[in-house]
Amino acid sequence: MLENFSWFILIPVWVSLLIMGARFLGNPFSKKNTVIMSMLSTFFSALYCGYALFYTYNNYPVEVTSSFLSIGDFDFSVGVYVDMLNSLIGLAVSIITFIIYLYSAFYMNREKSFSRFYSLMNIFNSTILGFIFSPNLFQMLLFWEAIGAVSYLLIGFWYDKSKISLDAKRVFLVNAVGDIFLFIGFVLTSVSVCSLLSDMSLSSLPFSNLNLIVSSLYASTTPKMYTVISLLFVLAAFVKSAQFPINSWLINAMSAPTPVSALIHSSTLVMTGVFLLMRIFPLVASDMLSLKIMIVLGSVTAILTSISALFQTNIKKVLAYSTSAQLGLVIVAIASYNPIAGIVYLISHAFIKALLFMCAGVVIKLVNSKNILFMGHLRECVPIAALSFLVGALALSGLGFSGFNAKSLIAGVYHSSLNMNILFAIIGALTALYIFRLYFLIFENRSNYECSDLENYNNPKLYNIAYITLIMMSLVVILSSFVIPNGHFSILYLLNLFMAVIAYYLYNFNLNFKLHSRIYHFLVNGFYVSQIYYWGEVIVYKFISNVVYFIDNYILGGFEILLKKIFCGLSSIEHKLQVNNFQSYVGYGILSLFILITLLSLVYLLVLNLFGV
Amino acid sequence: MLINSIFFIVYSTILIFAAILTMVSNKIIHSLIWAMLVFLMVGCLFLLLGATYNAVVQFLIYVVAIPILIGVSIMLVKSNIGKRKIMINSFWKILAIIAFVLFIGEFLAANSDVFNTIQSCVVNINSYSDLESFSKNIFSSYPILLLEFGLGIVLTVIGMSYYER
Amino acid sequence: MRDSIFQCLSTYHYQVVAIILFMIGLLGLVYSRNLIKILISIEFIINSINLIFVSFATYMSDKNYIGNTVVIFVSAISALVLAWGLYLVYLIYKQYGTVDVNQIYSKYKEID
Repeated sequence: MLENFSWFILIPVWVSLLIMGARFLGNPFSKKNTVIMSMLSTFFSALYCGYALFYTYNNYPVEVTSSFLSIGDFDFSVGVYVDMLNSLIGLAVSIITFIIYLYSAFYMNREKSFSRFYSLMNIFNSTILGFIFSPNLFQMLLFWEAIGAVSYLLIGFWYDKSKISLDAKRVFLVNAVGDIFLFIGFVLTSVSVCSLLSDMSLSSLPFSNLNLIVSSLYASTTPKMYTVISLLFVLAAFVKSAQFPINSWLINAMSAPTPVSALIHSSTLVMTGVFLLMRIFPLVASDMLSLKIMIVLGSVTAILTSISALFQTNIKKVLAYSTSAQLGLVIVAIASYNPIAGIVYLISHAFIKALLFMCAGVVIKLVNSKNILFMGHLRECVPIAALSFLVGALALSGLGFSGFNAKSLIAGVYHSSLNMNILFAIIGALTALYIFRLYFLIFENRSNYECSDLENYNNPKLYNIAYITLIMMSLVVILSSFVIPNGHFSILYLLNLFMAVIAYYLYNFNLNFKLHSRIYHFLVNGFYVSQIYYWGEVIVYKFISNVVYFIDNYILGGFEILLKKIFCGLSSIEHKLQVNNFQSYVGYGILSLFILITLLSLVYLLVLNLFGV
Repeated sequence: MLINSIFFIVYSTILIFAAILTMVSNKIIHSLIWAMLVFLMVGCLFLLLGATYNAVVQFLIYVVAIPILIGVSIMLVKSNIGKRKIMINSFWKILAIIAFVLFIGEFLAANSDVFNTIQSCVVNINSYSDLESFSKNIFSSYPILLLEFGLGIVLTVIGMSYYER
Repeated sequence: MRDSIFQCLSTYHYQVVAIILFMIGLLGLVYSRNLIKILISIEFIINSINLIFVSFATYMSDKNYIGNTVVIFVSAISALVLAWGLYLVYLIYKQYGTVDVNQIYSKYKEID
């Protein structure tokens, strides 16, 4: 059954080709049909993942592969590998994608290039499924690149605005760095393993033989080399999951359409890095240094991005920083040998963040602005979205629903020492503070205008969107019944509740405390991480361009002028010789003949001296 | 043999000087006389080489017949050629430098051991089958001639520099 | 290396003389402005080639007379060429009134 339907990954590609092909042939599908086809494809993949989850619960993992590329001693294969981890995350992704298709059917309704949006979303769905169900690291690498490319297209969806296309390029380039890390890691691992075992089937590093691969890699490399390889994988995952040194691209990616942000920047795209770490966990776990780096950088990311999120005024940027912070927690959970807590937290966070983004989309559509200072008291205008956002905020801060269970599991990770406990408490408190700040500033604060003044207030499409958020909310609520919480969370729960109350008093009554402006800018700009990269780039590129300018202008240009003068002189000489006179022609010919013969003999001599007689 | 060598040196010196004077003298009749001397010296070299019959033919045709022919045409033609100006511009300097460099290279090539070794392992002169043997023949049999060609370039350039065209 | 000139005369020494003569003839051909002088230079060139022929014919290891025979033909033909060339010079003089090459060319351009 599972083997026979392994082509489900390709269904979204076919749907996408149908949509685009019909559009190119001048007879596009109607918007309704487009949405229905897309939703059917994800529905099928959701069915497949659900069945796979039940099947692999009691059985061995299923693997279907076929040879894709064989070069010399290396044989790379592609296919499908289904186990519990796969099918669980695949199910979550499929459900979120399903709902967001429905959401964007109304959200993107006025868009001219509606079918382009849906075909891109379908391709993205296909790549993410191919990534999740890849049987080996080679296919993972292929789809890793594909995800980067398609997310570039989706972020730059409104490519006619220069800022957005610039952001898309920036995101793509930053992700390409991660691709390079993963590629180098893959090549090093593959070469080391194949040189030791001389087994062609292992060259694409299949996950079904991961223990063999890790042990042979451990045997065939020096410890330092092993550390380097595992750090390469960790760095690649950090780039995709927007962790500390490379977290600024997620902020640039927020210029995407809101459904895209809800789908790829909350759950799917940023999840791929964490998923890679879970997949090759035995490889990374054998090296203490990379585990330490994961713990340190994950915690640093969580704290720094939480503080940055507290001062943002753009609603989507708050949520983006929040995503980085939560993924930092997941990475710490994985590095502490507790990937189960990581998976649970990852899935619950995916649903919660998708819900929050969807509510943000409603609000943005209503007010036509992303700045939360222009909003206020929107609960009256969109009560359903306000309810959904409140549920999402409660869940994210761990005060209820699925977030409560997931956060209690994560708290078990941090329970090992007092320092870690304090760290986790700070992160949780900051999370509660910024998410309730967002809620109170948007939905509860005093407003400057009446609801009827708003342009989109009477738009029935807006209410459809708002109702769709309810579906996601209900999923968040339902999800909480699957996991049993543990008892490490009780004090922290009270702390988070306290922070929520503080947020209520701070932001509902505008009790804003004023920071020094320089510190404020430091925090708002995310500790200047992206600016540091920018300055580095600018300085390096300015230096390089100065050097290149110097070479170009003075050395090559001078050479050019010299050549010009030489040829001008030669041509004037030739002009003198080219009088209509047979004697000068004869002289010219004789001279050139002499020069020719001399040069010929010299060249012959040179050849003889160089290569011997 | 020594007498032959001395005669050869005398004849060839006279020949070269007479040839140069032929080209340098302004009046055409003077240059004709010097040319006669050149032809005579060539005939003498023929004699020295033992080609008596050729020498007789040379004396008859070149020393007697042709100067008469040229003299008659000089008589018919009024040749008033103006004096030459000495050409001084950057053109001949560049060419002189090129020619000098080429001449040095030619000199080195002709005197290097490589050519002598090639000369020692003689290639069959009659087979010009492909480019390689052709080039080998050129460069193995006639390095001396190539040296003279280099000399010729220098002479040509000096001539260029002194005679305005 | 080669023998000294006082030990043994070889074809090499005659070649040197012949090529110097050839060069002078070439220079005259290229740089003299008098048409008759150009004809004399052509004769120089032919003479130098004759000299090379004869020297090769003499110093060849096996005795053959092809070189000597060719020289007679060359002399005869060169005399013929010279006679024809002088006739052309006379015609040109009648046409242009001068034997100076530069003047001839300038007048030729004017007519053109």
